[in-house]
Formats: sequence, C-alpha cells, structure tokens
Amino acid sequence: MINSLTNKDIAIIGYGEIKNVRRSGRTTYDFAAEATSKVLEYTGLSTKDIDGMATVLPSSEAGNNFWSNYLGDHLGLQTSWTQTTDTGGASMPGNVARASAAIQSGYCEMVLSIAAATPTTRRVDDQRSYRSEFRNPTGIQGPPGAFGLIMHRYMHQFDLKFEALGKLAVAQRDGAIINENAVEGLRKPMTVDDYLNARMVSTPLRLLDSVMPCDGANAIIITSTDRAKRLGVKKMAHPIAYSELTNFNIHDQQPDITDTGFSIVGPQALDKAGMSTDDIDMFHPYDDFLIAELLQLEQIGFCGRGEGSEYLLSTDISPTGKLPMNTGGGQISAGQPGLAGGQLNIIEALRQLFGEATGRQVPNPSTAMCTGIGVIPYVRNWGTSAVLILERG
Amino acid sequence: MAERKKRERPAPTPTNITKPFWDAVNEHKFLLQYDPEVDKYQFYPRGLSLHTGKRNLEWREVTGRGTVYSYTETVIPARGFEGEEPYLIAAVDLDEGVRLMSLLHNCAANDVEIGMPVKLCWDKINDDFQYFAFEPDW
Repeated sequence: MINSLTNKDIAIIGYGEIKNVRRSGRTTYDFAAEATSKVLEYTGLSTKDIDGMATVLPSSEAGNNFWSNYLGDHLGLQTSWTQTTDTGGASMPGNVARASAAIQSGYCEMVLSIAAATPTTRRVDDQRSYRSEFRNPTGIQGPPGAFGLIMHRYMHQFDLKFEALGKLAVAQRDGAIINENAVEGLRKPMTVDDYLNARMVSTPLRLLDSVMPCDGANAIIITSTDRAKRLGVKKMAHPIAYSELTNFNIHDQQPDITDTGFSIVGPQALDKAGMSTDDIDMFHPYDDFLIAELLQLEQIGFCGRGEGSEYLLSTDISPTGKLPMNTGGGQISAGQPGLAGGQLNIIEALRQLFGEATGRQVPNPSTAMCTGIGVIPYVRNWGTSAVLILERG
Repeated sequence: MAERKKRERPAPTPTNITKPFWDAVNEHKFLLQYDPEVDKYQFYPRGLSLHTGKRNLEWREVTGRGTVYSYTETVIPARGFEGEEPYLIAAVDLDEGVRLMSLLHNCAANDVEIGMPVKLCWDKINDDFQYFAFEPDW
C-alpha cells in the first residue's frame, strides 16, 4: 500500500492553543490571531516564514465564501498554498495530510494549520438538503438525537455498559482539571455516579455523554523534516500514516449504524504505518460523544466489535495506563471550540510527544493515534472518519 | 426546569427536487424515488440515482409500512417542540428498502421496541404543511 509519509520527511514542529471559553464576545479572527501568535512564539518563526495555510470553515464564519482569503489577510500571510477543509471535525487531521502532500509536491514549505471557531458567540451556518427538510422538522435533538438512535441500536446488537462510558468520562475529566486551557466551568471533579445520574437529553444519551460548545482556537506548524533540521528544531513529531473515508456505505439504504468508516481507515492507517494497535502508545480520539470513542476503539481494532465496554472497564486509560486516552480532557471535558475542536486532541498528542504535558505526562510516549469525525448524515452514522498516526522525531 | 418559550416548528422548504414529494405529503400520499434500472428505491430525494448515477428516477407511491430500526425519546426538546417533551423519534426501515426518521405517535416510551411494525401517519406542521410520522401497526 502506498504511504508517502512512512519515510518521516514531514514534521510538525510546534503547537499553539488558547483557553476555551464560553460566549467570549470576541471574533473568530481574534482567536485565530492569538493561536497563531502562540505557535509563532513557540517555534521562533514570524508570519513571513509561513508560505502555506490550512484551515477549517467554522460555523461562526460559514457565510463567508472567501474564508481562506480573509483569514490569511487578517493574519498577514502571503501563501503559495491555501486550503479550507469543510469535513467538520475531520478537517484538521485531514489538513495534516493535505499540508504534507502540498509540501512534498513543492507548493509550499512551511504551513500554518490554524483552526478557530466562536460558535457560542456567533453562528451563521445554514445547512440545507436533508437537514432543513428531513431532519429539523422531525423534532430530533440534533447530534444528541442522532447518537441516541445509534446508542439504542448498539444496545440492541451488543452489550453496552454505562459504567464503561462513565469511566471514560471521569478519566477525561481528571485531565481537564489539570488542563488550564479547558473551559473553566468543566474543571471540577466528577464521579461515575455523576455520569449515571446526569440528565437525559435524548435517551439513552445523557448530558455528560456530550461535548459542551465553546469558543477557542489552536494552531500547528507543519514543514519538511529537512527544513526543520536546518532550523535546528529539537522537538518534532512526524505524521507517519493517514487515512480518511467519507460517506461510508453510502449505497446501502439500510446500513448498520453501529458501523462506520473507521472499520476501514483504522486498520488501513495501522497497515500503512506498519503497526498494530499494540504499537500505539496513546489514543486521542475525536470525542463529540462518549459512544463515538467506544465505537472507534472497536472499529480501529483495539478490541473486537461489541467488546468496547469490557475493554474500557478492563483497561487503564489514565496517563500512566496501558492506553492513555484524551489526557487533556478531550473535547468532552475541555470544551468543543466548534470545528476547531478537530485539532484539540492533536494538540494534546503533540504536548505529550514533546514531553510538555505537565501533571498528566504519559511516560516517554513515542507514538500517538488521533482521529477526526465529520458530520451527522440523515439516519446514518457519521460522514467522515479520519485516522492520523504520529511518531516522535 | 426553566420553562422554554415555544418557537415556530421548522417547516421544509421544498426544492425543485423535493416538491413532488411534499406536494404528495400534503395530499397524504407517500412517494419514494424509484430507479427502474436496478429496481431500487431511495430516500431522501436526490438529483440522481444513488445506485447508477443516472437521472432516470420515477416517483412511486408506497404503502408506508415498516419496522422500527432504532428510536430515541427526546427529553430536551428541539426548536419548535418546546413543551411537547418527552416525545419519541424513530428510525424506520420501510418495506421498500429505505430508512427514514420521524416522530413516533401513539406509542409510550415503555412500549417501543426495535423491530416492531409501524405504519405511516400524518402530522400537521402548520396550515400550509403536513409532515409524515409513524405509529405502531399493532
């Protein structure tokens, strides 16, 4: 299988992240500027060193069909390669692969991959097609309703233990408490009982199964490993494998909604990297809902189909455990900065790989798997599944 | 619990693709797009056949019988449904081989079961618009 990333010729050389906040009243541009400033400070680069930009279209700016132009203009970037990806939470892991390909093809050398979103201050998205005609008029409670359908179906086919989801919620909350960038209101301890007793949103999905939206931004810099070495960069992480799939099983009009594209891209990305799940030192999955993480564990192959609950209950997922998961709280406990949330767990993976996760450091990790999920289609499971494997340089 | 202000229930905006479907719904008929070449139905309505990519689709009236594929009881209401909670939403597999989603009427949360037979019924959004729903086919 072709994998242009195995030779480790691409490097991520820095990250910048700012604190997630609710209803900031600030613009998406201001958040993007602060995260950009942070990553430039981290890497010692200036805006003039950047010649490529990749971003995601956030709901707070979705009415602007020149989003890349406006954003690059605001940030003072002259770029020879510019990309907005709009596959939701899969956009930012996807941008690592897209930027890598652009660098390998010679379109640019130094890419700022910037995600900013302020959905709790402003929302201007307007999704038509199945959403306006066949979803909204039914009264389904958006993504929580869709995941309620998925969870009940899962319970019909397999054994779902809510204690397992509660354990995952608590593990992530423990990370958020010591993550100063997490939404302040979420930085308080919780127990498995708190999860089990949480208010139902759309049965059997509870409030604590779900992300809390917020405003936020994060950025990474991607370049060639050669350039990184010439710059004297000491800490880097190589993207070594990436796979994505959109509209899994689209021709099946009555698909199994407990299955997703991860059944294909999980094993495929591991195969490209020449790895098995045992080689993954930590797992930073996209987490809009707890059940999405359980499904990913099964479909990527950390355990078998239907074994997710048992796997979670029997595995230490803390920073010092067998498979540390979303050690900074993930989106579920750090807050979901809209579609910028798709890069939040990549930032935590980099922090860990660079040995900078104070108070929650995984002992000497050399590999990480990050994932992305995009869009909730009409009575199906999610639309895009993406897997990115990182290795410490 | 704070009382939620009732907002207007969202109504579909028919497009050139979906207008025949909604016109039929307003007359209490349920149409599906049908691809005669592969003898398959599809839902939601699209501009081409999901199966072949051709624009040879026909509209066919169907019975609206099916089974519950999954369900959820909505406890925190969606926009326009304030005060109606809790209410059931079902994913329904129609006998014609497509899946759709709607309110499940005339059924208590304790009585809904995956696999149970359901049949089409109707739901008024406003004076101009009917919507489809399902109810148990006891």
